[in-house]
Formats: sequence, structure tokens, C-alpha cells
Amino acid sequence: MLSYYFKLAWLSLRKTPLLSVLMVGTIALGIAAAMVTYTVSYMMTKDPLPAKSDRIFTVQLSSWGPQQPYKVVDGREEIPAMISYRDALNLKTAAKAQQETAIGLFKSMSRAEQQDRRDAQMRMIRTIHNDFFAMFDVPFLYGSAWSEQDDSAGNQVVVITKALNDELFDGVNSVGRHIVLGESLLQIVGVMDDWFPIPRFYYLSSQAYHDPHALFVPLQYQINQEIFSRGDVTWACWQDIEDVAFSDFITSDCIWLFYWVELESAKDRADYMDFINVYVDEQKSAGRFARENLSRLFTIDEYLRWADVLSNENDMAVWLAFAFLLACLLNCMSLMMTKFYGKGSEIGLRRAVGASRQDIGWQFLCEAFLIGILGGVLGLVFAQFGLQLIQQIFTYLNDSIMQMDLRIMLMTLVLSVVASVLFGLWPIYRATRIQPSSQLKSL
Amino acid sequence: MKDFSVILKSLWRSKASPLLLILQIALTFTIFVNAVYMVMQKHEKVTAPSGLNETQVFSLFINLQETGEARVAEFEQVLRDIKDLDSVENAIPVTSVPLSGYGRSADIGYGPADEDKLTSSGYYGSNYDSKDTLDLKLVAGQWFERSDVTHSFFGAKSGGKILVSKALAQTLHPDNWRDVLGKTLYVQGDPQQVIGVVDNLKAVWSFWRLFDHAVLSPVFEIKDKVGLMVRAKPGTLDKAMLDVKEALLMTPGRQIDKLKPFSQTREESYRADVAELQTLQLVLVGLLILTMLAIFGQARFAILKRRKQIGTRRALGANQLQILRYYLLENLIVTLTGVVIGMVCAVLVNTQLVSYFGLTPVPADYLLVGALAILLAGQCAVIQPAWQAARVSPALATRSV
Repeated sequence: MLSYYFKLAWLSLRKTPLLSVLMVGTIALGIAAAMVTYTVSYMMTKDPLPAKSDRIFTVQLSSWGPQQPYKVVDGREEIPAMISYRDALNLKTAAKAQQETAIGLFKSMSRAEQQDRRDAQMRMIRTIHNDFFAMFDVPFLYGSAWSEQDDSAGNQVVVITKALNDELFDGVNSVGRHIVLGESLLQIVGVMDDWFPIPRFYYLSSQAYHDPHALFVPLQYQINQEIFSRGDVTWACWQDIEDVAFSDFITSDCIWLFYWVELESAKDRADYMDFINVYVDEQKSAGRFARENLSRLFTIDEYLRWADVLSNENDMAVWLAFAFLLACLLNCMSLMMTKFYGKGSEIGLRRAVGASRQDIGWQFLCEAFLIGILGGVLGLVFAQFGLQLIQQIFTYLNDSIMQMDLRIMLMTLVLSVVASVLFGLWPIYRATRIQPSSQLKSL
Repeated sequence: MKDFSVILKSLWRSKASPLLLILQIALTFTIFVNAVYMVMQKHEKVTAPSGLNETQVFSLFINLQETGEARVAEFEQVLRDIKDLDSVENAIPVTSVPLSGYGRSADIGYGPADEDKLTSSGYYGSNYDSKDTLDLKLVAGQWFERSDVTHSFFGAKSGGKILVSKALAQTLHPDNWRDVLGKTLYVQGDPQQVIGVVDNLKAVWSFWRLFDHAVLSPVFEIKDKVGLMVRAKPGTLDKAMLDVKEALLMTPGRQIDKLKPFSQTREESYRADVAELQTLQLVLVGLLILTMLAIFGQARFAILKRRKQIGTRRALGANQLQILRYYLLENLIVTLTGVVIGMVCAVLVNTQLVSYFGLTPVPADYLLVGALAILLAGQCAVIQPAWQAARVSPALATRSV
């Protein structure tokens, strides 16, 4: 019976092509708008490291000077998200976490060894400990992370991204070849495969949707080379450090590093926090950390919320888009009303030869279902165009926040069918109320 | 016009669907007018001239490796080397690049104390050649003398000369901006004498409320990292950029950063605005299509419902034109009601926007043009169904009675 109804529905849709196209088009337009904004919002706020999100933490310390708080937000003292090199070194040496890495940044002229001096480009260089790669599940295309020994000695080694490897070495295995940073030669030990954590959670929030930087070197290399790009990276000091030597700068309380730890399980959070508190007390007795201890651990999600990366702005766009969908559906409802009204005589005839109200209801429900499916499919097509368009508008953001996964595609179809059936109910109810006698007269 | 009262009566008898349509039109109109206005304002903002020569100028930052006075000599040598290149017309030191997002603002007032502060302004330090290099237009007063140019390690010294942008002069002297000439202005607490007014010079942040305010001083700064702006000879921008890079990299340890044409700096500065603009335009198009669909659907529904009635009218002697006119008029009434309600809402919403976000109020002609556009869209949408209605045969009525 159902297949017969679907056949009827298909015939009925073909009988009034203009109206059908309008109905399907209206639904598709609304669905596309809603799903495009939903996709972007969903992709922007999804968990960047789902397997470990409850046991990876960033460490924030109350290391600021006694004169004034680092910042006051809503009347409460805030501590910085970054820590000093001195503290990072102490935490790393204590080695209380399963894996841990400090994260810094500098800027330098860089080129491949075979490139001419003139082709050198200014690039941001990420400085980390080798645990970084394992902690954040960084995939490798060639080679691997550098060794513990490279880490502690600050050897001249570098890991580059796939994009840079394509640019400088045409995508061939470049492990063992060299990158020139400033005036020194660094050996490539690994080439990362595609890796775009979204949001890019592990450093400052302001560029959370940009691609990772192209070059990764040991933090100790930066220290050995005494490079600090004052004007190009984020840092802060409570002491006056105008014109101090590099060695004094790194032993100061100036903050410029993020610090991330991976614990064995989420349960170890309290233990690690105890360790941090003990550390803070030790530092207090050594004359540092003069302020009240507000030190804390943040999970990725907690950090992103605290840093306002996961803001409500996206939610608003989604709400607006769904309001647009609602308007489209109301429109479609009035079109369906027209459609079913126009079929008054047909309904009358069917009722007269014995179809019950339920039968009529089922028949039109099938039609609404069909409209929903078609609208959903067309909506998916529209949405792809929409996402393409958005990619062109927001070229500076990572592309993968503007791509639908299978889950969202299925959701689109389901939403479309449910919405069109739901908004078809009233027109269908009205259609089933048509009196056979009043319509038959006019045949 | 006798149709008029008939239409009103028939609309009154079945209120639900015209009412829905009226609400939708009102809503569309409200959003439409405000959004179009925002689009126009944004468009104006992103296309506004920057006051500089945008086609021939590029900028870059380099490191200076010497210390103390030797660093000044190093910088001056770099400038000379660049100016000597065949493809380069002129080059200047800058403390920051307009529109680049990185730079400085200064408190502006007629006294040194905090409470004397009248406004803020972008601050640039450069040298005598900045006029030629950037194509700045002097609208009052005079340019610096070569002897006015000095250097410092940070900021301008007290008692120097400065130029201000016309917008800043207008803020300081709303009645006659020329009054600013010769005055002693305190820039970040230091007294400076205003000797001239530049027609148009922007600060570095395009999103800043005081984006048009700028102060130009003949004091360039010698830090470990300095900015330069270079004007290429006509048509040689790309070559000049390569030449400059090549010349600079002859020095070991030289670092070059943010080497880009000014057109690119400008584009990056307005990127978020352009994205917002394009998104708004998409929304507008979607909304307009939707409303037209709604009017079309509703008109079709109304006509289908009244086929017999139309047949009767035709049988009683109404010609096709009269039927067509009837439905166009009906649509006009519905749309007009929606637009009138929408106008009230649009003004209400706009006053809220004005008070919360500091936007300027929508001018009346936007309301009028918006109303006309929606009315026209409505009429377009209704023509096809109305034409169908007009072609209903009179026989239809007679058959079913």
C-alpha cells in the first residue's frame, strides 16, 4: 500500500511541477542555511583531542609580582595562561606527569638548504619538547619526533609540516636534509602528516582557527641560540627587563611559555594539582610567587571556554539560521496548503469510492515525506555550495571547519524529512476534512 | 477603485493567511532595510581611500644589528641602499604601517595632564620624504623642513613639529578645523607644534572608532626592529620588492619580515569586514527570495480557492484585465500593510541599534527605496498567478452551480 502511495505522491508532484519545485526549493534553502551555520559552529567547537580530552591539562601558575595582580576580571584576580621558562624547566625536571611539554614561539628567516639566500622567508617557529608529538597524537609522514637527548642538548633538529615539505622539497622524503634558520643549519628528523587540530587549543586563543606553524624545534635550541622575538610573540613581565641580557631574561619571572601535561588518567588530576601546590609553596619559601596561590589546571575544554574561544557568537548565528529555516517551513506549509486544496476534487472522489480519512492522510504524508527527502538532498547540494562560498570568504581560516562529515549529512536529511512531515501535518489534516459531497458536485 | 472595498471585505473574511503574509513582509522589511543599510555602510568603509598611494607603495620590517649611534648609521645606510635601486622611487622609515593592525595610539589634548585629554589618535614617526613616498596631500599649513627630522629610540621628543590628519583637526575644532594650525598640541603628554594638516591619513586599526585620527611626526625610531615603506617606480612594484629583498639580504644576519604591497595590507585589514559584508549580502538575497516565494504561494492559494468566484465574475461580464487588476491590487494592499508595519518596526529596531552599537540612523530614503523594492517584488511574484486567474473560463462557474 505504501509503495502505491509513494507512486501517487510522485505522480502528484509531477503534475504540478512549478509548485513542487517551489516547495522542494524552499525547504532546501532553509535546510542549507541551517546546516551551513550548524556545520561551521559544530566543527569550530568540537573536541580537538577526544581520546585524551579529560587527562591533558595546561598548567597556570600564580607567579605574578607582589605589586598588582596580573589582571582583574569582574573584580576577581586573574592569573596568566603562560608561565616563565624557569618554572617550565622546574616542572619538566620534576617529571611528575606521564608526558609534558612547554610551548613557545619565535620568528626567524628560514629556507631549505638548497634555496638561495634571497628565497629565505620570515616564519614563526614553534619551540617545544619532544613529548608534544606523542601527547597531541601528531601523525608522521616521514621520520619521527626527535629524541630525549636532542631535547636536553637543544640539538639542531627540526620537524616540518607536510605543507612546508611540499613547498620546499616537492613532497619527497626530506628526513636527513636541512633547513637554514637564521645562520644555523638544522637537520630534518620528521615530516608531519596532515594535522589540523581544531580549535588549535595548545597556544594563544586568538589564532585558534589557524593552521599550525610550519616548523617545530626543541625549546632548548631556542635557549642555546638566545633567540627571543620580542616584537613578534606574546610575553609579559612584572619586573623591569629593559635591556637585560638573554640569560637574565630566561631566569626572570617573565612569562612566555604554555605548559601542557598528559596524566595517566583523569583521576590523577588531583594528585598533580597537589604537586603544583607543593611546588608553589616551595617557590614561596624561596621568595618568589608573592601573590595568593590561584594556580590551576585546565582541560582543553576548560581552557578554551576560559579563553572565550567557544563563544556564544556562533550559537547566535545558528539560532538565526534555524529561524530562517522556520520561516522557510512556514512558507512551505502554505504552499502545501495550496497544493492539497487544489486536489480537493481528487480527494472527494477517492473518499466517495471508499477511502477513509486515514488513507487520505497516509497518502499525503507520503507526499510530504517525498518533498522532505528531495528538499534534503537539494539542501545538501546547496549547503555544499554555501560552504564553498564561505571558504572563499574566510580564506584565512582552516578549511576543515567548513566541511560536512557523514553524521552531519545524515542529520541534514533526517531534519529535512522530519521538518517537512511535521509542517505538512496541518495541511494534511485540512485535506482530510474535505467533504466528498461538496467537491463531487463540481466535477 | 470600486474593487478596493471589495478586496478589503474579502481579506477581512479570511484573515489568517493574509495576516501571516503581512507579518512576514513586515519582518522581511525590518531586517531588509537595516541589513541593506549595514551593507552600504560596510561597503563605504572597505572602499574608503586610505590617503596613500595604494598601487606603488609596499612596506617591510627589518632587524638592525648594530647598537647605539652605529644603529642610526646602519638604518640610514639601508635607506640609502634602497633608494639607490633602479626600481625604487623613494623610501622612508616608519614607526608603523597604516592599516596594518600593529602600531601605536597617542592621547591628544591641549595640556599635559590626564584630564586635558580630548581624544586619541594614531601616531607615526617618519622623515621628510614621507610626503613624496606616500603621496600625502597637504591641505593646510606647511610640510616639515629637512632640518626638523631627528631620530629617537622611542616616541617623539617634546617641542617638535607635527602634522595632523584633517579628521583629527575637525574633532579638535569642529567649527573651523584650520584653527588647529600653530597650536601647541600635547601628544602623549609631550607638547608639539601643529604646522600642517594632511587631508587623509588613517591609524593602524580599521575597526577603531578613531581610525581617521593620525599624527605624523618627523622623528623616526631606531629600534632593533624597524619598519620601512617604499615607493616603487610606476609599474615596477613586484620587481622593486624583489630588488629590495635581494639588496637587504646581502648583509648576513639580516631579517626581513612582513614584506608586502600596501594593497595587501589594506585587504588584510578589511578582511573581517569584507567577510561580514558578503555574508550579509547572502542573507539578504535568501530573505528576498523567500519572501517572493511566500507571496507567490499565498497568491496562488488565494486564487485557487476562488476559481469559482472568478468564473462567476467573468460570467457576469468582468474582463480578464479587471480580474488581473483585482489580484494585483489585492497584493498591493497586503504588501503595503506589511511594509507600513515593517517601517515602524525598522525604525524601532534601528533606534535600538543606534543606541546600543553607536550606528548612525537609517536615512529616510532607505525606507522609501526598501518599500518600493518590496512592493515591486510582491507585484512580480503575483503576476503569474493573477494571469492564470484571469484566464479562468466563465464556464467554470456555470458548470458547478
